[in-house]
Amino acid sequence: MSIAHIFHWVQSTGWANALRESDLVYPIVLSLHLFGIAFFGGAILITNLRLLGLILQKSTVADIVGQLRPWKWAGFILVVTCGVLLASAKADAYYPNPYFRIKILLLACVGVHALVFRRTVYRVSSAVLPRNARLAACLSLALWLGIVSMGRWIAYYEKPKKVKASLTVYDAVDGRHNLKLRAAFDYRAG
Amino acid sequence: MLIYDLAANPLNSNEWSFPLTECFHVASMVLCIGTIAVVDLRLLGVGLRNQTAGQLVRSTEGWTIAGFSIVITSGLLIFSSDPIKHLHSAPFQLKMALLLLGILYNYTLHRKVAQSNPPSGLRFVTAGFSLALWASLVFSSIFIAFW
Repeated sequence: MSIAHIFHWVQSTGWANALRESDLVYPIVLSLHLFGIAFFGGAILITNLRLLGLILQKSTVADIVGQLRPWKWAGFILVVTCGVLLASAKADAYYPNPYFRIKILLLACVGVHALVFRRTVYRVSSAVLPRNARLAACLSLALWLGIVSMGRWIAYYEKPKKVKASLTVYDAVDGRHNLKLRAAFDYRAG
Repeated sequence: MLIYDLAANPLNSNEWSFPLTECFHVASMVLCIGTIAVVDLRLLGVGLRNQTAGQLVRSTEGWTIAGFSIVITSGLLIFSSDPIKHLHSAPFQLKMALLLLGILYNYTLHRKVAQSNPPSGLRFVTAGFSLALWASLVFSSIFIAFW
C-alpha cells in the first residue's frame, strides 16, 4: 500500500468528504487555521525576537521563552489540527502538490531544529544569551516563513494535464505534424 | 472616464507575483495581530505575566506598526488585482470596517488600558473585544474567497 493509496483512503472517509463538500465548515476550519497562525505566530515571533536581542531586552531569554512555551504549543496544536483536516479533505490533490511536499519537509526541519536547539538555546535558564541563540532564531523564523509561504502556494499548483503527455509522444514521431496537433489541443484545452 | 486594464496589472499577468504578495500579507498579519495578541493575553492575566502590559505595548509597538504597514501595502496590491470584485464582496466590506475599527481601537482605548493599571474587569473586556475583533477580521478575509 503506497502513500498515495493512504492519501486516497483519507480523502474518501466520510468526514473528509463532508468537510470538502461543506460550503460553511471548510472555510471555518481554514479561518481557524489562519487565526491560529496569527495569534500564536506572535508567540514564536516574540520568542525569536528575544533570542535575537531585538525585543524585551530587560527580561531574560529563559523568562520570555518559558512563559510563552504553553501558548506556542496551544497554537501549534490548533494550527496542525486544522491543517490536517484541510489536507485530508483534498488529500488526492495535495499528495502530488510540490508545495505541500516542501511544506511537510520544512515542518520536519522544525522538528529537527527543536531537537538540536532545545537544550542548548530554548531551555537555558542563565541570564546570558546562549551561544547559537541568534542562529537558532534566524533558522526558526526562516523555517516558519517558508512554511507559511508554501501553505499559501499550495492553492496555486496546477496538476499537469494529461493532454501534454500525449503530445510528447507525437513529438518524437513527427515534429511538423505535431505543430497542427498542438494548436488543436491548445484550442480544446482553452 | 476611468479606464483600468486588469490584465496590465503584474499581479494578473504572471503566475508568481499574486501568491508572493499573499505570502507577504499573511506573514505581516502575524507581525501585527500576533504582537497585539501577546498584549491581549497579558491583559487577560496569562502569557508574559512577569512583564506589565505597558512594557509589552512599548516593546512590541514598533513591530506592530511595521506589520500594519506591510499588511496594508500588500492588501492594497491584492485589492488592485480586482477592485470591482472586492468592492462588491460583503466579506470584504466587513473586513474593511473591522480593519478601520481595529486600528482606531488599538491606538486609543486598547493602548490606554494597557498602559494604565485598570481593574481586572476592564482589562478582560478590553482584551476580549480586541481578540474578537481581530479574529473576526481573519474570518472575513477567508470568506472573501468563499462568498
